Amino acid sequence: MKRIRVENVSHSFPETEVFRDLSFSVDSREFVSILGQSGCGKSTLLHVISGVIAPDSGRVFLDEEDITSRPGLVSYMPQNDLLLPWKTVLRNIGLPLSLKGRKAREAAAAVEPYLALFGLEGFEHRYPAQLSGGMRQRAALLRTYLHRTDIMLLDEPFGALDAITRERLQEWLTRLLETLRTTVLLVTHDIDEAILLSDRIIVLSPRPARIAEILPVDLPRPRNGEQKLSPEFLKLKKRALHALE
Amino acid sequence: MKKKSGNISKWLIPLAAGLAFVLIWQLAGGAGLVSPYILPPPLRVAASLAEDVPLLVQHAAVTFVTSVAGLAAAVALALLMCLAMDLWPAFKKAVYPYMVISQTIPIIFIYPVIMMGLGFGLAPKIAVVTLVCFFPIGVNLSDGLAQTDPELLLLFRSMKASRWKTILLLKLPGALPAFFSGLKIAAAYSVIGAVISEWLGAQAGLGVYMIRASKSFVLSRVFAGILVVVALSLGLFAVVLAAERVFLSWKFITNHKENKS
Ligand SMILES: Nc1ncnc2c1ncn2[C@@H]1O[C@H](COP(=O)(O)OP(=O)(O)OP(=O)(O)O)[C@@H](O)[C@H]1O
Ligand SMILES: [Mg+2]
Repeated sequence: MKRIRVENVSHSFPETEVFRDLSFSVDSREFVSILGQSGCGKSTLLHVISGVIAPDSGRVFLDEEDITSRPGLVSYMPQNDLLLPWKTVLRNIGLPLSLKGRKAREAAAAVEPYLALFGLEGFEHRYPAQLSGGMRQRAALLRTYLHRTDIMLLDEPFGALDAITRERLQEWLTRLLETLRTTVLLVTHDIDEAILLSDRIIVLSPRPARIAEILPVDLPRPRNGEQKLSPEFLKLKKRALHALE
Repeated sequence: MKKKSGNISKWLIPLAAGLAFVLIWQLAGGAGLVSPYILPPPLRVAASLAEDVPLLVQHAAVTFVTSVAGLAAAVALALLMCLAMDLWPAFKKAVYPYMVISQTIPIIFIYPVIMMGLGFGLAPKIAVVTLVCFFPIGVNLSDGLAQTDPELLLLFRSMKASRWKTILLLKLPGALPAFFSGLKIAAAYSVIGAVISEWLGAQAGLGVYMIRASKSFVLSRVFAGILVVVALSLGLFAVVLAAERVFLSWKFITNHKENKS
């Protein structure tokens, strides 16, 4: 069981109150999206949950363990791919393992079995600048997965991609997660993405953010882009749009 | 094809310009436009150079050793200082201003002080080169370390990277391009630093050779010495360029791809 629970978390920067009193949970192997407008505090919320910044108040739990301000216990994928330009794709992906003290060769051996699954086979010895945007995101995702395979926080993983690549990767991610079975908390401002991927959507209001609505998504799986035109999908989209206001 | 012609013109144009300059200089001297006691003609300089080869090699070897030792010491010192400054911000606040001040010291006047401390051998000369080279390396490296992407630092923190691993895997490699910018400047200055220190008092070295030549008014030999100083400086610079290509190979590989597309 790997479950995240966020309890009454509030955070402000000088002059900006970002969010107040947020409480929600993500169940083991559930896919939950946090949907909110740009600037509403989604990245800040992931920083708090991943433990790299301390909230003004509130706590974060992993199962029953208090993990507030304790980095390293969940996987976190930042908004930009943030691959190191001087390391090959293979070394970049193995970074979390190197940080845990594994030798370069061991890290590479641990990465290799996943390369095909993440569509990176044959590109592992290239540098990040030699990859397409979609490949870089997949490499960053695999790096995130290898830090800790059972729980991932993803900050707009497809935000910087063109519409076609984004949709292809969204479908790829749904298929991938059927294999990997990981708990995922994803942050996005893309309503279609949230509906397509999630079991549940937490809609945030504009700043200072609070939870405007929690939408269960009951669309059948496996999902694909065609479902975007189904009446159920459009109904969810309308509710999400309404809640975002 | 295009690439090749680009390469040729890259070498040919400066070479032709240099040759033209030397030719005009020679002709101007031959026509009596420039006194050979002010500006000896290139052929005379070449003759002096050829005559003095054994002597020049001896002196150049001393200057070379001084330069390289000083440069190496500056690199080691800059690395230690910058790591310490990165680890302890208070140390940086205390030291950084003095790093800048160290560069404003007129070496000519403090050289006697350095000599009193380090004696008459190579040590004070190496110290002068170190003083000259430390600043460009230290400032560039320290700025490179300070400019580490804060988002990457956050990512490393999210993976619970230790301080040491963060420096080794993120900060230092990220600062390497800046370090090499500094090292290139330092390499170009190091030989001049060595020559100046020899000028201020030594038994051997190109500075000594040149001061003797100038005292006996053999200007063509002074110019021969200058040529050797230039060649040494360029040689050291080229070594640093080559090292940069090895250590920053990822940069050259990815730049190459951008040029093609
Ligand atoms: N380090 C900081 N210091 C001060 N203010 C900050 C800081 N980081 C974020 N903010 C502010 O907090 C608010 C929320 O920022 P955040 O990056 O969490 O938004 P976001 O929802 O992720 O936006 P986007 O969708 O554009 O990525 C913004 O108004 C931002 O300007
Ligand atoms: Mg964000």
